[in-house]
Amino acid sequence: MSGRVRQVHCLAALLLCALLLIGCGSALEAAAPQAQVTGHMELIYAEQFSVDCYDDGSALITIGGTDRYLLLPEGAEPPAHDRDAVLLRKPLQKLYLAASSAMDLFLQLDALDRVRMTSTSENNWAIPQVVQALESGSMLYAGKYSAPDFERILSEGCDLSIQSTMIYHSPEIREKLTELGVPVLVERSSYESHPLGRVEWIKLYGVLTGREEEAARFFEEQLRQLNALQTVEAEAKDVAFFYINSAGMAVVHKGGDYVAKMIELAGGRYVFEDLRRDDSALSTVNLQMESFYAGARDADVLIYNSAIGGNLDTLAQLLSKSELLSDFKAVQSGNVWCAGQNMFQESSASAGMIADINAILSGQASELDELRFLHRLR
Amino acid sequence: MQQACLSTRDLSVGYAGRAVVENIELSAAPGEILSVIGPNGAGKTTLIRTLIRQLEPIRGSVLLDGQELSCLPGTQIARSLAAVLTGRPEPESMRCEEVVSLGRIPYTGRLGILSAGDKQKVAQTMALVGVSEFADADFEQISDGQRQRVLLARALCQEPRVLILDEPVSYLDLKHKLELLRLLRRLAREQGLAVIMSIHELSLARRFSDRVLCLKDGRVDRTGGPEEIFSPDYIERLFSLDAGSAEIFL
Amino acid sequence: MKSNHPRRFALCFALLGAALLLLLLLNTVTGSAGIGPAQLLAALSGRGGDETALRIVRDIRLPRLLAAALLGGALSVSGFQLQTFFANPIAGPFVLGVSSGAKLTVALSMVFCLANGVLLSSAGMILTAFAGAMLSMGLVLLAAGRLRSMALLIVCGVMIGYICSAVTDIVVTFADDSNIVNLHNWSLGSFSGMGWGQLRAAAVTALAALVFSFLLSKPMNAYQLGEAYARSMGVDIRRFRVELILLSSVLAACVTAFAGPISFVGIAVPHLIRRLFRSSRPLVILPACFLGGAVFCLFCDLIARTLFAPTELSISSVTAVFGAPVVIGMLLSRQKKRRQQGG
Repeated sequence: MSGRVRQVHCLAALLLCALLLIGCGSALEAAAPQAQVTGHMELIYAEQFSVDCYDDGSALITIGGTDRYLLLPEGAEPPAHDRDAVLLRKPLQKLYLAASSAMDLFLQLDALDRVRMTSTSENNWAIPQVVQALESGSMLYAGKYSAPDFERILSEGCDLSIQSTMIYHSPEIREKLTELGVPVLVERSSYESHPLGRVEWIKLYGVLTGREEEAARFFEEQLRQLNALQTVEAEAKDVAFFYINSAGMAVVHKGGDYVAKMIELAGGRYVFEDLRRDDSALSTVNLQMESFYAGARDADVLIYNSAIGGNLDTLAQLLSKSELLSDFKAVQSGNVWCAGQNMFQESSASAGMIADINAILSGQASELDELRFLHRLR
Repeated sequence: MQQACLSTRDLSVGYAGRAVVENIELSAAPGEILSVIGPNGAGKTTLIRTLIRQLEPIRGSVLLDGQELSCLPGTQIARSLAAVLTGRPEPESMRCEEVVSLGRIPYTGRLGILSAGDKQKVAQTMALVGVSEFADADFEQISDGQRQRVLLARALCQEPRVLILDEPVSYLDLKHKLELLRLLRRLAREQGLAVIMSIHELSLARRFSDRVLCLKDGRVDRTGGPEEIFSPDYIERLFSLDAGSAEIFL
Repeated sequence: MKSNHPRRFALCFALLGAALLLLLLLNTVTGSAGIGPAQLLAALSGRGGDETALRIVRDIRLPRLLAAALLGGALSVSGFQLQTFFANPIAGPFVLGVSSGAKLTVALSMVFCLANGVLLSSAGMILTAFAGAMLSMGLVLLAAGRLRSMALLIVCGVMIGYICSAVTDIVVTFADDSNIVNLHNWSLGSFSGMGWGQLRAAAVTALAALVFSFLLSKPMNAYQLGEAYARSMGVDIRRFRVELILLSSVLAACVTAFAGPISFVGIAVPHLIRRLFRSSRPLVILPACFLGGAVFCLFCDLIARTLFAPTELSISSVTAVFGAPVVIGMLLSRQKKRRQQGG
C-alpha cells in the first residue's frame, strides 16, 4: 500500500518538473528577439533547393525540403532560430567536393581554390584546370566517395563536404563524416528535371563562397544563350540518347528526364519521351534490344553517351557494339554523334550542350564534325 | 601342374613410395581359390589394390600369363581380370541389369552399346549367379547380399580368367556368406577361374580355399594348403593371440 | 525379364522435343516490341509486312532464342558430366572456377581499356572471357594431374574460384564507378547481345564439345561405379579425367563468354532429367540433358524478357528462382531415401 502511494508521489514530482522546464523554455524564447527574414533567393528553374536570408546575416539553406543548413557569417554566434539546422560557418575555405558535377560550377565562380579535396582522381577529369590543380598539389584526391581517406580529410581541416546523391548508398560514410565534425551537404541537382535547373545550383555555391554576384551574372549568360537558339523545322526531329552496356542492352534515359528536356529545348523530340518508370529513382532504363530497335530505328539523330559507354571515335566502333545499328536511319544518313566525357563534367554548360544539339537539328552543323561537346562518328 | 594365370615377381606394395609388404611371390592357378589372410594393417587390401592396378607397385611386377601388367593395354587386361571390391558403390538411378551390363564394357564398341550377344551373356550370367529377379530393381534399393551377387555377376560378364575379390563376404549375414563362397567355388571348378580373395573369416577360408597366403610384419609369412596354415599354433602366432584362443575361429 | 525402359525413354524424348518446339515458337512470337500476329505472319512468310518487324523477329529474337537453347543445353551437359565425375549432386558447370576466371579477365580488360581509351568491342569481351575461363581450367588440369582424391580436386576448383574472385575484388577497388557498373551488368548474365555472328561462333564451339562429350559416354558409364571399378574395366583414368575436365570446362566457358555466368541450369536440369527418365545412363541422359537444358533456358528467358518489358530481368535471377527449389527438393528426397534404406 505505501509503495503505491510513493509511486504516485514520484509521478507527481516528475510532472511538476516537466511543466517547469517547458515553461522556462518558452519563456526564454519569448525573451529573445526574433530574426526577420529579409530575402528569399529568386530561382527560375531550380526546385530542389531554396535560400532564405535573415537580417542577422545568416542564411537558411533548405535542400530537397528536408535538409536544412544555416550559414553563419564569419565570427557570428549561432542564433536562436533554426537550431535544428546544420551549422556552417563562413569562410568555407577547405571544401571536400565529392560531387563531380559541382566542380565545374565552382570553376565558373572562380572559386576553385576553395576546393581542397575531390573524390575523382586526376586521370578521370576532363577539365584542364582541375587536372592542373591536382598536379600542382593545390587540390588533393581523397579517395572514392564510398571510401574516403578520413584521416586526410581531418588533418586538412575540411570545413564542408559536398556530396552527390550517391552517398545515400553509403550512409555510414555520411555519418562518419558528421561524427568527425565535417558537415555534409548532399546536393540534389541530379533530381532537377530542367537542365538549367542543374546549372542554377551555382547560385547556392555562390552563397556558400560569398560570390553571389558572379553566380547571378553567369546564370544570366546561360539564359541569354538559351534564348538565342535557332528554330528547327516544323517536323520536330527525333533524337535518341543511349549507350550499349556490357550485357548487350540499350541504356536510355526516361521521358521527362533532364536529357529529354535538353533535347526538347533544342527543338527536337526525344524518342523515348513516353518511357516512364516512376517506381524507381533511377534516371535510366535498360531496354531490350528489340524495344530499342523498334523505338529508335527511325530517329533522325543518334547521340551515344560515352561517359559510361566508353569513348567512340568511329562509326565502325559503334557497330562493333551491335551490328543491328547499321539499319538505323541516323547511321545511314551520317547523323550519329558522340557525347564526350566533358559533357557531364562541364555541368555549367548545359546551355552550350543544348546549343550543340540545336545546331545539329537546325542543319547548322551539317558541314561540321566537331562541336563543343559532341563529335560526329564517321 | 597347370600354368599360373596371375603371378607376381618380387613384388613390393605400399603407398607414396613406402612399402607395406615386400618380396611377395604369389601365383594363382586356374580352378583354384587363393585366400589372403593376416592381421589388420598387414597389407591385404594394399596387395589387392596393386593386383588390380589401382596402386603402382613399389618394386617388382605383377604378371598376367607371364606378361607384365603395366605393359598391357587396359582393355586387354579387363578381358582377363575382373574384380569385386569392398565398399558400397552408390550409382544414382541405376538398375541392377545396367550394373551387370557394365561388365561387357571391354567388349563393346565406341559408344558402349550392347549387341544381342552381349545382352544374352548378361542374362546368362545373372541367371548363373541367381540375381535375374532383381534385373529391374534399383541397385541402391536391394539388400547387401543381393548387391554383392550383382557385383559378382558384373565381374563375371567381363569373362575373366582371374577373379579378384576384396573381402567379399564381410558385410553379409551367415547364410549369404555361405552362398557366395559356394558359388565362387563352383565357378572356379566349373569355369576354371583363378580366384584370389582376401578374407577375415578364418573358418570359411579354411573350408573354401585351395591355398592360403599369410601376410604379417611386412612380408609373406607363409604360403600353403589350408591344413598347414590353419593349425591352432600357427594362427595364434599369426594373429598374436593368447595360447588356446585360436580354437574359437577354426 | 522384359523391361519397358526403351518405351519410357522414347516417351520422355518425345515430351522434351514437343516442349522444345513449343517454347521455340512462343519465344518467336512474344516480345517487348509489341508486334501483332498479323504483322508477324506477314513478316515470317516474307510477304511484305513491316520491315522493322521482320528485322526484329529475324535478327533479334531468332538468334537470341537459338542461343538460349544451345547454351542452356551446353550448361546442362556440363553439369551432368561434373555431377557424375565427382559423384556430387551439387556440382555444377562452374564448380571448377571457370566463371570466376572469366570474370577476372573481363574485369582486367575493362579497366585496361577504359584507362587507355581503347574500345572493348563485344567480340573482344567474348575472347577475354573465354581466355579467363581456359586459364582457370588450365590450373585445375594441373591440379588433377597431381591429386588422386576427387574430393581434393573439387576443393581445388572451388579455391581457384575464390582466388579469382578475390583478385577481381582488388581490381574493382581501383576501378571507377562506370567500370564497376559494367562488370556488374556483365556478371548478371544475359542473352540480350546475341547476334547471328556470335551465335555461329558459339555453335561451332559448343557443338564440337557436345559431340565429343557424347563420345565419352562409355567411360562415363563405367565411372558411375567409382574410379576403381572403372579402371578395372579398362578405362584409362588419367586420360578420362583430362578429357572430362576439358570438355565440361569448354562448355561452361562457351556459355560464360557469350552470355555471362548463368547459374542453376547446370545443377538443376540433370536432376530433373534423371528423375524423368529414371536412369543415369550417359548415352541416353547426355542428349536428354541437352534438350532439357534448352527447354529450361528458353522458358527462363521468356519470363526474363516479358515480365517487366521493355526492360528485362537478369537471366540468372530467373533460373535461380526456378532452379533452386528443384535442387532443394532433390536433396530432401535423397535424404528421405537414405533414411529409408539405412539400418
